[in-house]
Amino acid sequence: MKIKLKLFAAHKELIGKSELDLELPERSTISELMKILIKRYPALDKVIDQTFFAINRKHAKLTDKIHGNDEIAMFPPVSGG
Amino acid sequence: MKTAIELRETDFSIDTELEKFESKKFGAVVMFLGRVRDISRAKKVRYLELDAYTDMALETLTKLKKRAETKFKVDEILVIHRIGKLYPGDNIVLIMVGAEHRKPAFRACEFLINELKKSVPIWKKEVIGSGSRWVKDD
Repeated sequence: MKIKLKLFAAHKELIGKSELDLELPERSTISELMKILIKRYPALDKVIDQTFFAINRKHAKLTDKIHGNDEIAMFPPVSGG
Repeated sequence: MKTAIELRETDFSIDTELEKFESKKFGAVVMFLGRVRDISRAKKVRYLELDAYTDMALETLTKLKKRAETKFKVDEILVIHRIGKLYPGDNIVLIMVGAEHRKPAFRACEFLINELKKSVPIWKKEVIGSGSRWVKDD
């Protein structure tokens, strides 16, 4: 399935893009997405423990499954206010 | 209230926003104003850059507003957060809470800024001298 991954803040700078188009096996989890991303962008490995994901604008767990057309986002710890 | 939750690049006027709390039932209006400091970690801040996942930030703030209204029984809440490039002294965030009495208004205001800092997808980058860093823990 094809997904779009939105990137923000430090993660956007690290990868150099605000959005990625990715091809994932059906019903992949966030954890599986993470492994694919680290393989493609090794620089991510050093910030992966400071990385959060969201599915359809809600915080996601590593075991959460991704479906086609889901809006996926990856970002560092928040620091607004 | 028309725009109770807002992300914007432009500044806001506290007086203008306060006019929205016109109801005479508010015996208390508590406000939190976050501003850009000129010194961070003993270094002079040139400016901040604020990035946001706008749709998720608005949805998360709307949920926090509803939680605060239920939890503290307050009547009116406004949250404005700025994004983009901000300089020392600029306003960053405004939270206003209107209630009949001061205690729930204070508690709701503190709850909102604490939760905003924990869960709303907005990020600050400090530009200091020729370097910069994404803020992690302030």
